[in-house]
Amino acid sequence: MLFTGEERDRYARHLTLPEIGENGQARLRAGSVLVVGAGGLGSPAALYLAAAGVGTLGLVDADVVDTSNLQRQLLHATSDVGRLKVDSAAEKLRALNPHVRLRTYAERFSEANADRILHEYSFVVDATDSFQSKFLIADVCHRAGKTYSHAGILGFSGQTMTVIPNVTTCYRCVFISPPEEPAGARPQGPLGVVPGVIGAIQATEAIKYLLGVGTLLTNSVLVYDALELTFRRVPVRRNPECPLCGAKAS
Amino acid sequence: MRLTINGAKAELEEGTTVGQLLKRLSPGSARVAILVNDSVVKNERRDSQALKDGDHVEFLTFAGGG
Repeated sequence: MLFTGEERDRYARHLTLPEIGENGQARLRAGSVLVVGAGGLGSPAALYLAAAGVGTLGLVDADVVDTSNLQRQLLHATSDVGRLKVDSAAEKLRALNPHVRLRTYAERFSEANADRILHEYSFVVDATDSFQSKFLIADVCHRAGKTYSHAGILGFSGQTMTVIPNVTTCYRCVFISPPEEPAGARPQGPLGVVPGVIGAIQATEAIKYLLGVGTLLTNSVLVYDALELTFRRVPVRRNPECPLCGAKAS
Repeated sequence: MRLTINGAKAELEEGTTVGQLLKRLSPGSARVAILVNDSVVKNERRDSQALKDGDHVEFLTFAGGG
């Protein structure tokens, strides 16, 4: 529970919050969060989690940094183009907070490695960029009983929800199965700052979960529209016919 | 009848189905989840489920980016 003088300075603002204090900061240090995807959502999420003093941070991404990533993926700099994203990210996160234990996985998150990677973490941030990965995270987190923050970005909008498997509405309760993706379709957007806003919310949820404070973004989807600058929290009940957590789920 | 669609008040003819409203608002798009009064409407029920006065309807677009 003891913090060094440097750590007391580093976390001084947290230590003054009645919801955190020394006990809460110790909970963050004992906490572990897996961020799947070190891109638009993963950058702000991982930066804030490291800054907050989350003790163990895992990062999964098989990709290398591309010039077109730099418009939104704040963990990476121009000089990182061509490097593995997890290496580029780990360097920035270590520089920000050397107290954080970083684990990097330069592999695509898949059915084959999900269980091995997941079991070390208590909260998962879905910062992936494909429907296939988002549904996979919902499925494996359900199986492993891991609380996760889902998020998705489209153009000028973003959405996010937090899921406690078998307790609250899950991603498949709402979206059921992946949509058909037209072959060869190129992603439109997003506006670079949109995943910044949503990724920061995902980090907030992870921190609240580790601290056990506040109300998680469960049983609802938060929809952000950057053009109109609106946030709407859309309530969604659990779906009794959900293929994952419904009454008839296999 | 009066409803709320994506948080905004709207007026629709009696008997309008969920599917008809979807076609009107976003023709050709199947990439949405539709909620009526906080419950998801299955794809197979979109064309048969009629909306009622006072319903809250939400269209949640599939968002795959990150």
